[in-house]
Amino acid sequence: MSMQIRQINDTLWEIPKTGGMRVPGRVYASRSMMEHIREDKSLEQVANVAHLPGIVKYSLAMPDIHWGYGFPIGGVCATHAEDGVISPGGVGYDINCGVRLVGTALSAKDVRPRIRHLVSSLFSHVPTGVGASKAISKLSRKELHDVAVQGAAWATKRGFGSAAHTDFIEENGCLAGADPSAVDERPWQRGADQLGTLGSGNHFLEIGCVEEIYHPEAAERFGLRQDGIVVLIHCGSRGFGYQICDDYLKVTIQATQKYGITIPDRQLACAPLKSAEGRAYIGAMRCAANYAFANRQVIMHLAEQAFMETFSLSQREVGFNLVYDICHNIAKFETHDVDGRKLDVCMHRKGATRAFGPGHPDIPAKYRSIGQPVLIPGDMGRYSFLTVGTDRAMKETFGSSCHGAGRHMSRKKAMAASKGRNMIQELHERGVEIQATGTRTIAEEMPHAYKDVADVVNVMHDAGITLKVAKFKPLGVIKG
Amino acid sequence: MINGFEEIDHTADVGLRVFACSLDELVMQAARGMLHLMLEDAGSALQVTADGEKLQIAVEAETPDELLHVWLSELLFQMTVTGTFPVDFTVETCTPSELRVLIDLVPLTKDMAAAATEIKAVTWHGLSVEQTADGWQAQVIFDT
Repeated sequence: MSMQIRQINDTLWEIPKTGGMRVPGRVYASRSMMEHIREDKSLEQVANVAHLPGIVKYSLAMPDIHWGYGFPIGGVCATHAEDGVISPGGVGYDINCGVRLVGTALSAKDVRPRIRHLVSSLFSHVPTGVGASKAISKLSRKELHDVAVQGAAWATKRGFGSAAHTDFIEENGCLAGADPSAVDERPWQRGADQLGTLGSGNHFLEIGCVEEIYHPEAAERFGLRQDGIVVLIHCGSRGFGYQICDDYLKVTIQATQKYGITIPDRQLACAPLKSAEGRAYIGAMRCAANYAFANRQVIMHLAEQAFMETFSLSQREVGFNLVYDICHNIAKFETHDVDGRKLDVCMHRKGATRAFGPGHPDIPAKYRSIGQPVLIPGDMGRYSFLTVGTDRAMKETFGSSCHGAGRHMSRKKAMAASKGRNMIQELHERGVEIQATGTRTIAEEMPHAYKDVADVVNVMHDAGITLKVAKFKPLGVIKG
Repeated sequence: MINGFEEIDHTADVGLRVFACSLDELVMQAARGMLHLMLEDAGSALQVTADGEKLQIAVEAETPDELLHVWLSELLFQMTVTGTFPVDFTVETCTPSELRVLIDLVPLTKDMAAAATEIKAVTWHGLSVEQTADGWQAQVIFDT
């Protein structure tokens, strides 16, 4: 299906409201990116999201947009809190997949000579890959309930990091209102021994160094300095979240019929926010979000242990310092200015991040005058970015931005393109040491399977949605 | 119609187009296709072993496409929680609304896990099961 789309300015495009669309679609992209975006079905998916009841203003997509299932990856949608809907497909299977950025007291010159040892140590401390489990002792059902309700604070109380860390996590590492009674038996079974594990696919832990600073004031406030070593942790709620999404898609497919909602794709199944089905999903989804916050908190602690052992340094000398932790796949209630009045909405961000501008009360006090840090990991070969949210984001995108590079090559094409090549050696020659559970993951996740994350970040920067703060060069990566 | 499956080129995830002469063969081909996506060639070389386990999966649905979804989702769930990999299937019952299959499983070894691609879930996006003039065909997209 060929989509009608018109260019509004250098970085913004609009899909006009047609058929059953309740609002227009808006996509942030450069002209050259749009040529590529048109090749798959992601624009059709932006239009499909615009069919959701109660959607406010636009069905939005960020420049890392690509073809997902139901929502496009990079999709943002606000639904009216009073009469709108919630869609599990607008959050995704990996509920609260997200990224955590950790600063350290170390510099590139300290780490480079021992990078192989460090990568190997991280690989043995943090379980990765298909079915990765047993990072910590298996949790009882009571403990899992506590994780689901308390989030990152559960982990800090158990000695995984410090209580002060929760100040630097979106929602302080805990979505209030998590309801374990809304979670069926199966997610608990799938999530029982996976806390503290990275998993597979595009999840990773990356050691980087600050290669370039664009916004010195923000970089200083976020505790970063030129050549400083940082750690990026990208993972989510593992099997616990996948199963909750799967279970609630069945519930919401029935709810869609029950409430007479017309949608163009079953994966967009939804339920009114105020319905029993909608409320149950929200309670369960929050449990998975909290599991993911705890997961990244535990992994950060395991990584800190690996650093301390590799360099024979104390905790103070390694100097792990949580810069920020953000969600990529989430639905949350927020208040936004819409056409001059405050409106309560349910924000769906599917492969997109929150990017609140300066002064917002939900930003940690230390950063409030600068804006919220927005972490944008790259492709494990080139670079990752730290950016910061702006007032413009609050006006145009409900305080949202992009989440990563975005694939431009399918896994099948990436496998074919990497045939006969030694990706580990190629990355080594680029100064990146990688250790993964499987070689197939490295081939599927090869850097060229992704868009250049700099292009994605530059569109957001030029559009004034987020401003560039710093660029990180990867030195080492562990993957599933 | 020849029984089989082919991979669909999907940017973010992976998908299958499945063909079969009957519905029971279609659901088996879909399962084999999903396992192939997870473990490719290594998976097809696996044999039923004397010390392997057996598991019966029984699912019900209102429509054939829902049946395919619940069957593959159940298989995925059982593999995850039991740490096993299916090597053979025996269909005991198959109608458009009911499926009962006996499965031979082997433990998922460390080497197998290393070679595997994780499938998080079976999506409803673009899911279809259709009876054609000469058999059945289906399409299914997985979240990876």
